[in-house]
This record gives sequence, C-alpha cells and structure tokens, in this order.
Amino acid sequence: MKKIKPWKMMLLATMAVSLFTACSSQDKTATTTSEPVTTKEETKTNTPPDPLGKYADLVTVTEVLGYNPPEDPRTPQGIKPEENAYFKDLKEMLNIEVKYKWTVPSSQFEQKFSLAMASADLPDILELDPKNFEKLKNQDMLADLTDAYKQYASPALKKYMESDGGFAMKTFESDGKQLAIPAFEDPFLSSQQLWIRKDWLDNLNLQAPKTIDELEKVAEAFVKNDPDKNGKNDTYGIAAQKNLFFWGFDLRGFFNGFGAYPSIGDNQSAWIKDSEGKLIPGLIQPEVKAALGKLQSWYQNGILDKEFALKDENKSVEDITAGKVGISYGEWWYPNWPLNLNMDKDPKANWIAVQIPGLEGPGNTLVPKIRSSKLFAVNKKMKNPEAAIKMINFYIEMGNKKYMDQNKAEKGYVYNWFNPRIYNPAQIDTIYTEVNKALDANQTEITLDDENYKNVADVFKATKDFLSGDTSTASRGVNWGQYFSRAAKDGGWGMTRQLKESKAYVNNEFYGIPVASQVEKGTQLDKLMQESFTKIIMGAPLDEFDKFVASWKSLGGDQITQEVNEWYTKQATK
Amino acid sequence: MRHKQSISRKLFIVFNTLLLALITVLSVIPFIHLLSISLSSNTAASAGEVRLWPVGFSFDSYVYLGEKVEFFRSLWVSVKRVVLGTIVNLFLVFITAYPLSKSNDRFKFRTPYVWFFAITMFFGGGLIPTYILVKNTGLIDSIWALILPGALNVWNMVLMLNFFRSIPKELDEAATIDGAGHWIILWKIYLPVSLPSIATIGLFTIVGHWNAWFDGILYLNSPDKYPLQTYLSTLIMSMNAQMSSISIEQIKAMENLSEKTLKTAQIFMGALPIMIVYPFLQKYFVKGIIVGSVKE
Repeated sequence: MKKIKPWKMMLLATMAVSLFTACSSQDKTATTTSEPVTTKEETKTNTPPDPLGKYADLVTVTEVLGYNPPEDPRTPQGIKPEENAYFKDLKEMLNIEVKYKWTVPSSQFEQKFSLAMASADLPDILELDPKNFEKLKNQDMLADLTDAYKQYASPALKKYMESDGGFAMKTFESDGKQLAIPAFEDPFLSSQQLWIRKDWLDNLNLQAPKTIDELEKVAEAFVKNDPDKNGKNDTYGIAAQKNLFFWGFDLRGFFNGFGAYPSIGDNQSAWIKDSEGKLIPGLIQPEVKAALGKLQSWYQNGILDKEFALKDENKSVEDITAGKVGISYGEWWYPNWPLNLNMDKDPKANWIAVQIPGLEGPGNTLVPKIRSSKLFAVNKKMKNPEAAIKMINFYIEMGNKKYMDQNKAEKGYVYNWFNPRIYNPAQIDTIYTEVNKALDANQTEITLDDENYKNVADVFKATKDFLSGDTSTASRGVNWGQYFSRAAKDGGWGMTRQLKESKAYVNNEFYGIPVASQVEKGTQLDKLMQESFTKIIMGAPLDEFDKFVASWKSLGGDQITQEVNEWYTKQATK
Repeated sequence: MRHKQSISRKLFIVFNTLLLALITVLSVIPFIHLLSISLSSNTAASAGEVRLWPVGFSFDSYVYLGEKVEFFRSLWVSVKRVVLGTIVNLFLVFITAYPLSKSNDRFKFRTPYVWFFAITMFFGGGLIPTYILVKNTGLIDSIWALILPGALNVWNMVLMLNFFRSIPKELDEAATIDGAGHWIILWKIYLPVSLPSIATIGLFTIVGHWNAWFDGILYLNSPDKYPLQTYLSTLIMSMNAQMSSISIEQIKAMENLSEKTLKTAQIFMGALPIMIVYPFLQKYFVKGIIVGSVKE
C-alpha cells in the first residue's frame, strides 16, 4: 500500500467524493414516463350498486404502503403488513384481496414513490399528496371516480364529504371529473391556544394571562420565582425552537396574538385578505415586526431559552416533560402528547388551555381553509375503480359497535396499515359531543350506534378511568390526555369550540397547491426568513426586518403574491 | 532500541498520550450515552435527563428487545448480507486486481481495462437509472440487490492492485520458472502473501455492508427482508419533519412513540457486533507487509 503516492491518493479521494455528490444530486431530476392508457373496462352488473356488496369473483387490488410500526403496543409481535386482520375481513365481506407492490417506512415513502412514478410502476390505489396528485393529473394517469362515488359511496362517506359543503371534494375535481377522494379534517384542529401549567400559576399566586403584558409577567415569574418550588433556578418561560413556524412547540400563536399571521406552520407565508379583497402575505406585515421586537426583549431577559435556536421539537418535548418550561403555544392535542408525559413524571403537574393572549384581551388565531395533506386516487388502468370506494366504505363500517369485540389491536387489526382510510372530518367534535352527552346523563356506557362508536367509546373509557383514578388500562397521564384533549369542556377541543363560536379566528385564504414561483423560490425565501428572524430575536437591530421585507419582495415574493392572487381570482372556491 | 529520555521526548509522550486519551473518550462517550439511556427508566429518558449514567436503572428494554421478532429477523438478514457480500466482494477484487497489476507488455490491453473500471469512479448512473437497472435485472426484493450492485468496489480494487505491484517481481518469476501458471501463482503465492491487505479490505467491506441502509429501502419491497440498519433507520426516522400540520392519526402515533429506551437498546445492540470485530482484524493492520520473502 505504500506505493500509492500522496497526489494519487488525493486525486482518488476527490474522485470518490465527486462520485457521491453526483449520485445524490440526481435523484429528483428524472422525468416521468407515462404509458398510454387505452383500456378502461367497465364491470357491468345488473343488480343495484351496493356500497358493501360482495364481488362474485375475487378482485385483486394492488397498493403500496408507507408504513409506521403498529402504533398499539398490544399488536402481536412480528406481524407483517400483509397479515393485517382488516384484509381477512375485507376478503370475507367484499371478496377483495389486497396485494402490496412494496412497503417502505413512511419517512422514505416520498422517495420510493417518485422512483415508482419514474419507472411507471404504479399500484391500483394511490395515496397521494397534493403535489403528486397534480403531477399524475397532468399526465392523465388518474381514473374518473365520479360514477363510482355516486353509485357506491356509503351514506356515511357521503355525509363526511358533504360536511364542509363539498369544498374539499371540489378541490380535487377537474373538468367535472372527480379524480380523488380527499382525507380531510376540521380546519379548526389547527387553531392555536396557550397551554400553561396551572400548578405553577397557583404556586406563585398568579392568574392565567389574557394579554401579552400579563403573559410577560407570568413568564417572567416562571423564570425567576422558582415556580416548581424545588429551590433551583432551572426553569425558563416559554417553549420555542429553531423553527418559528412548525407543527408544534413553535410561535405561531404568539405572532397571532399581535394580529400578525406570518405562517400556517410550513415557513411559507400565510395569505390574508386585505380591505380591498386581495390576498396579502402575512409574513411581511408590520405586525410581525412588533412581535419580533417583543421576542427580542424576551430573549434578553431569559423568557425564551438562550439556546432555542439550537433546539428542535424533540428538545422542546424533553423540556416540557422534564418540567423545565410551563408555557407553550399549540393546538388542541397537546394533552395527548407530550403533556401526558409530564403528568406521569410529575403527579403535581396540571395543565390548562387558555385563548391566546393578544395586545388588548385575547387574540385571534389563524385557521386554514382546508386541512388535508393526503388523498386517495385510482390508477386509470384499474378495472374496478369502485373497489376503492367500497374499501373506504368498509373501513368506515368497521368502526361500528358490532365489530368491536373483533376489531382490536391484539387480534392483529392494524388500522394504520389499511388504505384507503377516510375519517369522519368531524371526528373530534363527535367525540366531544357524545362523550359529554353520556357524562351529563351519567351513563356507564356509550349508547351511540353508528360508525363512530369505537372512537367515542375509547375516549369515554379513558375519561371514566381518569375521573375515577383507574390506571389498570393506561397510566393517569394517558387517560388524562384523551380526556383533556377531546372531552373536557375547558380542554383542548372544548377551547377550540369556544374560539370557533366566538369567531376568534382569521382564515388563511390560500389553499391550492404551491404556485410555480413558490416551488422555485420557496426554499430560498424560507431560509431568508429563518435567518433574519432568528438574528433579530437574538439581538440584531429591529430594522433588519425592513431589510428582510425588501429582499423577500425582490427575491420572488412579489411574483408569488401576484401568482397567488391570480389563483385567488380564478380558481378559489369562494 | 532504547531512546534516551530527553525532556522534550517526555513532554511529547505526555501530550501524545493525553491527546489520544481525549480522542478515545470523545469516541466512546456517545456509546456510553446510548447505553445509559437504554438502561434508564422511560420517563427519565423522555425527559432527557440521562447523561452518562442510567437514571432509574432498569433492564426492561433489553428484556423487551429479547422478544422483538423484527430485530432478530433483520439481524439475521444483516449477517447473511455481510457474509455473502464480503465473500463476493473480496473474490472479485482479488481476481480483478491480479491481471491489472501486470505491466503493459505482459497484458496488452491493460490500459483500456483500467479505464473501464476507473470511469465508474468518476461517473455514476444516478439513483433512478440504477433503480431501473436493478428492477429490470430481476434483483428487486432479493438479498442480491444489496450485494451485486457495487459487488466490485473499484476503490478497493485499486488498493489491492497497488499492493500486488509492491510484491517483488522475483517471487512471480521464480514461480514461473518452477512451472506455475497464473492460477497457481494467484492462489498459492499472491493469496498467502497478501493476507494483511485482504484483511484490511475485508474490514472495509464488512463495515460497509453492516452500515449500509439506504439500498435496503430502495430495493427491498417488504420490511421483513430489511437488514438491521435499514430496520433501525425506520425506528429513528418515523416522523417527517417537513409537514406543517399534524393529523389526528400522527398524534396517536406520537402518544405511543415514547419508547426511547427500547430504541436506544436496539441501536446499541446494532453497533455492538462491529465494535467486537474491529480488535480481531486490527492486528493485520500493524503487521509488516511482506516479511523476508526475498533477499536483494
């Protein structure tokens, strides 16, 4: 080996490096080849379409799966996706068999799916995000589901799809053809509230804050006055992490309190309506500057963690669990996770939700128009597109009471491996109403008998267990999490309902797929925003914000604004 | 050979030892951290309280790991992959390097052949073409998809080639005079002489195969065929950081996700075999290359 001369070594090393980089930069550039689709057979049956009718001959459906491990710890060990008990029932009830072309961990799904699109090797039923939907739509690869939906959709499915006035369905229609069935949720699930530790407030004799100024006093006390009474100076004020706008433990709610609506959570600008009915980017409005100014002073006096710019969401979760921080902006589900971890670790801990503090009294939260990231479509080559609709019917049907003894994780039912699955968009609200109805009437069991039974019954049991202190099925924290996020009147969803009723919200008006210039410039603008905002919070002069606005506009922001407004006048379903 | 212990030399030894000790500690700390998390209670681990010593000592995660079918299934796949892959790699490297180490007058088209191999070091087909190639050759979803693409590592081949060149020509010539052909020279002379470099390249290959995870995700279509590292990657990357909102289903997943101790136990066990292999192969690194075969 001593014969290799140094220069040769270096040359080889550079070659090797260039080889790797060359490989990794090429993965997204390949274009998709589409095969012409000519055959579209219709299965003619003389009997009227039955949403759960059994096929006379076995129908084989191919799918692909981006999977997570089974979520329920009671699921049998070592079970494989194709052994899912749902499939056994599906075959018995509908005579449909599901074959996986491949399965891949969900974090790699995106990449593997683009490979499959590039090699034109797509399954019958497709789980898509809006971006891939648009691609396949433009290549004419998607089957028309209009008739299949009309004839075969079960009453429950139709009810779900009409629950928002058909708004979501319409988004995935093209030339009068229904090309996909969207899985969407109540947009209000995204609304922000302030989670705060009640036991800390009580320790310090403080009231829950209603304005930013009050919040500042509380947060300051949480930093300096030893709210957990452990004699150590080990707490800080408000949870924050390097992503200012994210799906959790971020500062969306804080900005909303200032009447600023910078982002819905994806670091791209949110779009609000101005007085003339045009859409303006929330990210560059003057209110954002005021909010940043406040954050800057909070960073200085220790209300924000000095290391927030180095933390990700996992670190925030650790701090909440460990009892280092007692205030966090977030959505209705926090009790479910991670507040339950904190409750289990510290029996004294007690969290409450309040409306986000504003400049004068409680503020308004930003709410999207539509909350959907996934939809189901059918390959144009598939012979029985209605099978997909029937499978959705089947999944909804399995929530009914009569299947409850069977449909359990320990018997091999893994719901997150079954596709296509559509939920009741008003699932959480149904749970809230039904559980409270049963509680008020002092029932011992849920009397509801429709497809929501399982979801309602699960929360009802957790609520009962929590209120009676029963920890035989789950820990106190887990039971509380179910109860306080979904059923409690002053809890996560209870608070969200109040926001909705008192109209304490502002809509993000843009809900289409990203416009062309967003795709092109979005990442760069996102980076610019992250850098400028973090710098300002950490002490750069506040006027940097004006510089940021100028660069944002010239680097593509103006173009995006124009394209978004074009979309708004032409395509938005108003 | 005894050095005179001058002051500067003593100083050098002290600093050298300290520096090496520091580097050692820095490399060991992550493993100790992992080990302590895996031996801690779940609440302490999810609150991030564990540093270098377990908090709330518990063996639970290892007991649970013992029942985890997925872990052992993928461990077995990894073992198969390492054994098969290393044999195939070493064999190909060995028989390719031999002719290419000969001079141009003994092997006429040597230069074009060398370029043929070298060119793959500059240019790669890219992810999608490679995927299509693997798919169309029918390797998809079998363990050979992890072994055959990249079965000949050109880098290792060049190492081997240069090592062959450092073997004195006299050995070769002596064998030829005694009537040995290329096969005999290759297997009876070159093989025993090059054991140290085979060990080196073998170690690279073993570590490479053991650590590779991405090809498993690309080419294997069901998780029960995943090698260990691919399986481990599914554990630690189950949350997509790109999303802007979290669905009800993902919240349920989060609620059940907090088995941090079990994850670290698996990661630790995954790293253990390769840490054990190292010391056994290491002695070949230090050994002299060719000892006393020829006197010049």
